[in-house]
Amino acid sequence: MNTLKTVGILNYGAGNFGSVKRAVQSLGVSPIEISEPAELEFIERLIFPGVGSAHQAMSELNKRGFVGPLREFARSGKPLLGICVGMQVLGDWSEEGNTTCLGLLPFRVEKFNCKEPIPHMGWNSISWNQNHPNFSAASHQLAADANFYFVHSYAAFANEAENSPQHILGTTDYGAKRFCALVSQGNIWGAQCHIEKSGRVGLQLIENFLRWERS
Amino acid sequence: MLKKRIIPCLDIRDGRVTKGIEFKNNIDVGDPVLLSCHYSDHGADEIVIYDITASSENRPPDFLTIEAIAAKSFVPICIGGGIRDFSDASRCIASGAEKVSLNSIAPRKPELISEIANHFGVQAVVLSLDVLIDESCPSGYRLFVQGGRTATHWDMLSWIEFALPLGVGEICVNSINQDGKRSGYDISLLKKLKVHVNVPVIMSGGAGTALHIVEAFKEGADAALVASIVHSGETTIRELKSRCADAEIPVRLDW
Repeated sequence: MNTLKTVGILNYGAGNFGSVKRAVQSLGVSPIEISEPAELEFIERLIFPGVGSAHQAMSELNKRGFVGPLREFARSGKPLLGICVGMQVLGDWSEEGNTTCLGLLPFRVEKFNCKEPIPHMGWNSISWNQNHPNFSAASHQLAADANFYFVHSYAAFANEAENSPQHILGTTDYGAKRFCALVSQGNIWGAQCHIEKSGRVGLQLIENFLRWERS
Repeated sequence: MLKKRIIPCLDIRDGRVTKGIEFKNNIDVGDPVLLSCHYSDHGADEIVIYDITASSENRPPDFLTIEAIAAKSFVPICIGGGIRDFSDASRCIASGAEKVSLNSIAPRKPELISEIANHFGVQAVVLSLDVLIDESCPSGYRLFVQGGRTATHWDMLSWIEFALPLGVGEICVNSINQDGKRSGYDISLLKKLKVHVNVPVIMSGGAGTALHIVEAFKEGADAALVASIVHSGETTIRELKSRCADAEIPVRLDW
């Protein structure tokens, strides 16, 4: 695809780094691997993968000195997309290991408490928030009922007072629970689902992020 | 709504996909990379790759094949067979798999479950069980290892109760009695599991018609592994999913 801006993928030991890289490459983009905070300067756009626990992700980010530079990157207005645990740590706090997160978006992540099997694992659809400013850009060429692949035991629940509805780009239901599947505020995007492993629709969402420009 | 998953299972021997009956008499099915790509482009919700001789030959899975598959198949990939330690699991995930399936190694080295789960999360660990009907076991099923060739002292449910808390995200149960016979999944086995297990359950072994899959989903299976039924070319994943949709089972039909 035609992209003028340099795309980086954060490599801080997250298990899906390779899958995210392959997904981006399949779109015809050659991403740069970002494994040092100083390298963030060289890129215009960042994808932030994540698998496993929010606690582990934050301690890796702290250990590698990424916390301050990531906040700065987000504040600079450059587009940033967190995937799965990479999305969860964009919020304020996670119940998983009682973890203070990056605080880039106002939400809290809690454990699923439902009678359905946990993890929430498999393909599920997203109800888009059509009033969200990034709705058109994010949902470009995606069917309203498109399915994405999810695997997680914790989520930002949509009905919690702390999780401000204006940042919710899409929600998904699991049993009686409704959680944030996509969050966004301006240049900051987050996907709870593994869009790097959601077939053609997932690749389309990644492409939509890569094409997004501040209006 | 969460969809029920249909997962083609590719058994690999000597670099080729094969399919056996009751874990024996394997026939050649095709190239693993081409087949994975074909299935992921045609509605597979995940791909499971079992290196069926790695474990008995004491070698790791073929990482290059995993990489080649992951470069072309953008759906979750699970690797089983030949994972002996954390480093093997780690290399599978680095090569592009999301999950590793532990079978023979798990009863011998249960701490490996925790090691992988602590590092990659429980969703990365699929506990795979080959079970055979055995009336002398309290649950009625005995756990087998080494591709169904070796009996263990474990009763199926005792094993699950022991292993699940170590960090298992999903279990996949293969009925040796039903494997490759295409006469349906073992539904009483599934019912027993659903009472005792709070993680997703993948049923394996025995799918011969779409109705068998519909039946397993209606009885609570979260996913169904299919092999002979799609490898033989007599039906497709789309066809199977259409039959599920007709029976009002939620499945993913857009890809």
